Amino acid sequence: MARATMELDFFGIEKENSAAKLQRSSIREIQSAISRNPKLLRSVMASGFLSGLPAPSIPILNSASSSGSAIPSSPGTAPLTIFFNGTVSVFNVSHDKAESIIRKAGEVSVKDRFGLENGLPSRLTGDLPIARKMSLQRFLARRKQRLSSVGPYEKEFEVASVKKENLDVTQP
Amino acid sequence: MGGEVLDERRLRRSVSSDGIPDVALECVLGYVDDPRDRDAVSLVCRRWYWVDALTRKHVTVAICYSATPGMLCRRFNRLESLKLKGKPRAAMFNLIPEDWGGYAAPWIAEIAVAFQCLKSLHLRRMIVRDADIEVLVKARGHMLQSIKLDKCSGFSTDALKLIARSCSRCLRTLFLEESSITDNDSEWLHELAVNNTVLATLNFYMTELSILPKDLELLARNCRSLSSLKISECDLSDLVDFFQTATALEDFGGGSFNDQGETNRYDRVIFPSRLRCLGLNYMGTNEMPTIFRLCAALKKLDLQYTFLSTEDHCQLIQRCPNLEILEVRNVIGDRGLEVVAETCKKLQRLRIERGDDEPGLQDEQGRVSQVGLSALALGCPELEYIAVYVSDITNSALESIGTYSKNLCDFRLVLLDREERVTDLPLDNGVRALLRGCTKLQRFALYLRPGGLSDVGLSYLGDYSNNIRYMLLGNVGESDLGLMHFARGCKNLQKLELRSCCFSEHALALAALKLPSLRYLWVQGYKASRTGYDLMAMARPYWNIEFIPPRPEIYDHATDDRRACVDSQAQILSYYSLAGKRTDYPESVIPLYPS
Repeated sequence: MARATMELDFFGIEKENSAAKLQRSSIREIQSAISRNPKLLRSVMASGFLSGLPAPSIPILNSASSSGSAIPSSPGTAPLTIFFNGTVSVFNVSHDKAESIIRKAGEVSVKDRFGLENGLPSRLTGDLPIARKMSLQRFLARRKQRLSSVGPYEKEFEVASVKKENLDVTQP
Repeated sequence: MGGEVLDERRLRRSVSSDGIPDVALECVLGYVDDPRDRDAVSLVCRRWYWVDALTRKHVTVAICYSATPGMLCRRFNRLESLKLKGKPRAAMFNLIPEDWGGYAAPWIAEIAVAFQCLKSLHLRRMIVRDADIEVLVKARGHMLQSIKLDKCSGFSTDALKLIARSCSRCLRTLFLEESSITDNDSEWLHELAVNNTVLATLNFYMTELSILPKDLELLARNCRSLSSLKISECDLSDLVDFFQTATALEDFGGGSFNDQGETNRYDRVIFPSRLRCLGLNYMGTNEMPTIFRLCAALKKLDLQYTFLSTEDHCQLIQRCPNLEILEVRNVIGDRGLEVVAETCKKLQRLRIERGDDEPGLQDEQGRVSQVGLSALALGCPELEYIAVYVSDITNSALESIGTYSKNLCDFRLVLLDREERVTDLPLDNGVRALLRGCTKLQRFALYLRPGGLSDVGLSYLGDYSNNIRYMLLGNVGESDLGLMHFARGCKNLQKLELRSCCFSEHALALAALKLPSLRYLWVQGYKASRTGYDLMAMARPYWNIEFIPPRPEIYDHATDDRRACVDSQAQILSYYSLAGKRTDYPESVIPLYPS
């Protein structure tokens, strides 16, 4: 049974962007909502929440369970539906797998966030950020570590941990 | 490279038709060291080719896949010094997969059986295993005077122990800077200290090796010629005795100030009086006075890994009138550069690296711009090498460099991407003036942003770069047309690296064909065709084409600790090779060949 594509509008937010995109800022919220309660995904899909703008009907690929029904086809798994670039895929995955897939998708979208928040780097240097020399990268990381530990107690701890890295160097 | 191996006796007795005995020719050529002069000599006639082959002391193989070890040996079997380079330069910026290649094993196998005169071996950005070192020192340990494993990986301190034991009689230089070495124990240094008496240079700077200060003291006692030592991190207060013993020391780098602020921990650290080159990790404002005594005589100063402010740089550098080499981060600022221009009249090399971008972590005055650069050009006429990350730039600053920096051989400029507004773009005219003024320029890098250099500017790069052999260009030009104009010039360009440009595959391939001296091309960030087939326009015999597809990479974001998984962009690596196809491609590299 062919179903019209469903827009997952978790929080009933009105779309300003195109119908196929989720709000970027809402991805994190969705992530955390799902990781708290994976069943949320299934229930939203089952409720068949339709968007204001009808999306063109898109063929469903890979439907592991026919037409994305809410009933899981094997114990411990649930259907995960992914809309991407004009295609739809449905997978039966376990709770853990769903979490990791969503996390990975979230990581990729962080790049877009970087691109927007500091639109400067990718706009100013094309698509490639200026690469850093590894030697300097290592130094700057260590410097940041030292500068961010402020106060006598942290300092002692830091010196001690640096000493530990250098093994027995301090023995007279 | 055919022909029989010329018998040495025949060589000495024969006199050619021009009346010059071979012995005389050999003597004269003994004074010819420049590789390009030697190249010209070898093309005169067969006889001169063989005299060059038998007398050439040093060869650098710019990419280790351009020839086989056997080929090198058949031509230059009396070589005394060999330098091999493996991974592309981009590896220093973490852009090349670790398993790309550059294995030392086949070369060391050949060295072990063939190169009977080899005294010096320098491997750069190569993969070297403990087993390879074992083969090397077993065969050549009694003769090797210099071993440099420079930004290499794949070996451990066990290999260093072997070197320490097997090369004890002759080894004067052991250089391991920035190599990734598995640290099993610190015995290698003890072995070196106990067995060797002629060591002059030891460098394990920017490695993670941990050592015992007492072994350094022992080394100083036994190797009275130790003049250069650069070490991994080791608190300087533990080196007091070492510094007292190492009286011949002229060059010291590394160590660290682990304790900062109000402390008298470093009061007893007194550097040897002959010290002329210095770089101390984590040196801060309070620790700076420990080196004031040395400043007047200092020739080389490395402040890249210090915690000094802009003001600190000014205070320090104004005490160093004899400085010839200075390396800093851009925290030096325009103000610091003005101090350099006033004080360091003998300056030959200046490197200004990119500091921290994060607000709050870097000095607000820590920006370098046209102001500092112009002052520098005027104040330091001896400059031969300038590498600088700038936050702002103008055409007139580049014109000043063209006017005053007549000794410049190597110029590298990167325009940072933090500031949205740059005073004066595009830099077409400034670049032209610089190239026309600095006639000795051989290496050139320009990394800008879209709009930084127009197609016209790119054509200037082609027209006015007569002696330039190496170029790195980033975000230059506007279209393929610019690249085509560029490729009509650059008659001596041998090595070209392009990053983040807008050129199509087709244009890149045509440019590679056009540039008359090009033997090495590296590209990342270009307009890819759907199939990659456009690249094949540059396919020809002896020209290897490698494609490194995009890979997921962890990208550290500057302003917080989040890490994003970003696909790195595809790369093209192309180079002349007499050896033909590589036989050791990893999965991350795809060779491209016409079917």
